[in-house]
Amino acid sequence: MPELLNLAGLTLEFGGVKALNQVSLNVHAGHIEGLIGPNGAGKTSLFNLITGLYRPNQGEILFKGDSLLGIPPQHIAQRGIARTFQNIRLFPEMTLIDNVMVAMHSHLSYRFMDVLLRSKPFRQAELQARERASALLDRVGLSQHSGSLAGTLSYGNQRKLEIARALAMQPQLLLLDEPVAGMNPTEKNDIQALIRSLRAEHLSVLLIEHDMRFVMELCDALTVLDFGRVIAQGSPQAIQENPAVIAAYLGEETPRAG
Amino acid sequence: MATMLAQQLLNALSLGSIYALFALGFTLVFGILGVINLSHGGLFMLGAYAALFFLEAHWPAWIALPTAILVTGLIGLLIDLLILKRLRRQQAPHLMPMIATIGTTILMTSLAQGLFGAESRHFPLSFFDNASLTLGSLTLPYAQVVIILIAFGTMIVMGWLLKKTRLGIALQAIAESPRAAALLGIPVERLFHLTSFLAAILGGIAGILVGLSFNAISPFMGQPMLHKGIAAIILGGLGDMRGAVLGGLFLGFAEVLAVTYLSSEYRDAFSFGLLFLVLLWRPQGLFGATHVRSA
Amino acid sequence: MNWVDWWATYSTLVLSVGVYGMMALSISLTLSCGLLALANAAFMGIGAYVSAIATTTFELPFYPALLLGTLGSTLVALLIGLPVLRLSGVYLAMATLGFGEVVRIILLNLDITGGPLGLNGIPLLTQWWQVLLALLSTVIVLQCLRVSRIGRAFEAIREDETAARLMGISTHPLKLLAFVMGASIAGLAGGLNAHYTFTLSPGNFGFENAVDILTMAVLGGIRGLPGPLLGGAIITLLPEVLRDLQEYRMAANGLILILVVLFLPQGLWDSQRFRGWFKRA
Ligand SMILES: Nc1ncnc2c1ncn2[C@@H]1O[C@H](COP(=O)(O)OP(=O)(O)OP(=O)(O)O)[C@@H](O)[C@H]1O
Ligand SMILES: [Mg+2]
Repeated sequence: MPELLNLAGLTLEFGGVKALNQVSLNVHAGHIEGLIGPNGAGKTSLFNLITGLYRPNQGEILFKGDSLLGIPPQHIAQRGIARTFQNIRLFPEMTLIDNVMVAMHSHLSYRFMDVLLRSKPFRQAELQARERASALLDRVGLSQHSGSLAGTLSYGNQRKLEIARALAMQPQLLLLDEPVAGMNPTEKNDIQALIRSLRAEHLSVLLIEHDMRFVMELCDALTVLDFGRVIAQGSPQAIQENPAVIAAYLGEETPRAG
Repeated sequence: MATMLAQQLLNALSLGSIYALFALGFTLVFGILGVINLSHGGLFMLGAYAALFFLEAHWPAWIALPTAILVTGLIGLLIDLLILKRLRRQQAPHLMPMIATIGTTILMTSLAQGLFGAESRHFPLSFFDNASLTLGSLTLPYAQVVIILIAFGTMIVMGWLLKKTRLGIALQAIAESPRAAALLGIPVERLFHLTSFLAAILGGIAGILVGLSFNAISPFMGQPMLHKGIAAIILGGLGDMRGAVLGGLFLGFAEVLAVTYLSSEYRDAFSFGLLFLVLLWRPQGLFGATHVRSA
Repeated sequence: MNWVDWWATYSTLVLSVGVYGMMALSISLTLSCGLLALANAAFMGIGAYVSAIATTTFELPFYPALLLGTLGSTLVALLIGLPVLRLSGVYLAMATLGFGEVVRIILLNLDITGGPLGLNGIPLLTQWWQVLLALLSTVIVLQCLRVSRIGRAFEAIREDETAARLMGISTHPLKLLAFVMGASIAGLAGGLNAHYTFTLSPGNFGFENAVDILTMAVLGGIRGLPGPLLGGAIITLLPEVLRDLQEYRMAANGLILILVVLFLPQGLWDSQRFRGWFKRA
């Protein structure tokens, strides 16, 4: 099976403390890969490594076979990796539609002169971008708010907007960091359906989530991190029965159930 | 020749110590409050004019000057209470305190100009005139000796305060992280006020010393000094107290030597050219590491 | 007073409203992508001096001189922008202030700029419609940018630079674009300014001027183009209006800065606030 993302032996230290220790995992094309683990296990740090915000002390990151090490975040994003943030990072003073259109930046290929002359390529590209952005807002159920400022949205809606914005980048790999945290059950079901439909469109997803039911229902495979180490990998079934995983969670806290 | 050099070095030391004193107050506010307080130049000017005011009211110097310093400190405190505190509460972006304190400087400059006139003035003090100590072939003007002693004395007291006392340790904790300091039970807001007060006092003393040193003060003296202060604290690394003092001294020596051996026109060009290069090459400053606040 | 007399008295003021409108727009361009760059006065000075030297010393016609002034400041901005824009926040503010001082001191010490005396007898070539045209062109160009991917990216960089980069936006070239375009506008404004004031001196383009320009943008508000224009007009006209206050005139400027920062942080022209009014009404 082709692998879209290979992480091999990643180690990340903060002042001598290993936030990640020899982490290896693969994301298969067209799969939903789950990443779980207690608080502070290093899940978000792993996302920060993949997206180029941090540099690993050791290890290799391959995306479609090419190394991502040393490539700046914006170029990694342009290669097809989009993400959302656990602590929401929208552009709060911009409208919803602009938030989504910002993420289309590198796909809008008109030139500076086109902007000044408002030439046909410019107008067409902008029109299409706007239509696509509206469609994306519609898809996450936010089209009625498209002219409001992102900062005025409810928490759950902000998370949805983050997903729409990430999708606007037309990624091949989507990294979702706790996409349903703080959502009610209906909203969670919507997001679950959305992620399924993305898989049907051959988008690959790496998903961090504390809601076990959500993760188990959705993921094709799971990786469990604890104190920066991979303690288990496998199908949701196998993970649920894995004694090391159960111990790790009992040692911390019981997994939050939706 | 050697005497001339010694004389120049003495000039450099007195100028540098004033710069250092000014820069110390400036950087103190940045280190603790995390804002660039551009009214520091205004407070410096205010110190000098407050001294002029009390001296012209025929107060004896030993009362007039400390009172002037205290008044400057209180104005610094007032700026914190009325402006900076409010901006802290609004969590305004760092641009905002800069602009607001530019406003207070303009206000102070304009008021000084209106009340005392735009032309430069001098302190009605005669006992410094021409009096000097002679050490071999070297003449040490009293004024210069007093200035150096006061400047270094103040800096030593500040250093002791910041390094050795409980207050200093609390301030260091705030410099690291105000939020963490608050969790430790440190009265962060109160110490912000105190810092503004102390910094203004340092600025005021520097203003009086400049008045004594050049025997001339003007409403517009704050601006060039602010530029020197900016240069000094960037040379020393923003927020770094020791660096600010070193940066100030360095600037004093560099300027005096540039005037002696190059030409006086390029004095300012020298310090700003240097500043510019340092910013591009080592934005964390020449002396020591950057102080990065964990938000 | 008839029209001719009125114009004779107030033409400089009217032209200044336009020129400083351009300056406020120029600084709002960098502010709109979150950069506190305070070099605009220096760029204005470069444009003014280059074009004035072109018309006086080299006796070039007005338009080529304006072009040279604009190109001069653009080029300098390109050169210093590359390294300076690696800095952010207060470091950038300090570096650009430092650059401004360096420019002022260079102007003060060169022979061709007339040293501390500056340049005198610059021909009065600037016509009102040229200022209007320059201002309108600036507004149109900036408006085009605002509704394009570039304007959106500027805004995103201002709000969260890291998030913007993670959206695939290369922030460095865009910041350079904002900085350099700001410098071009300032250079053009400087060239126009030089040719209606008759004289130039290095002090015109120092720290005070930089602060004035910043005040205009902040007072007016940087969330739209009308804001800086409004701010520019107010700060330019204020000394005239407050002439009776004499020495205390500047105090009003200072007070305005403080009050705006404290009570109208988005400036006078805040489209969001206006929208809020209509919603509630
Ligand atoms: N920038 C940083 N500097 C220092 N330590 C950090 C930094 N980022 C993360 N850490 C540390 O690395 C460890 C892993 O953090 P991370 O945010 O990756 O955990 P997580 O698995 O996402 O947790 P959660 O479920 O709470 O989101 C934690 O101990 C955290 O304190
Ligand atoms: Mg996390």
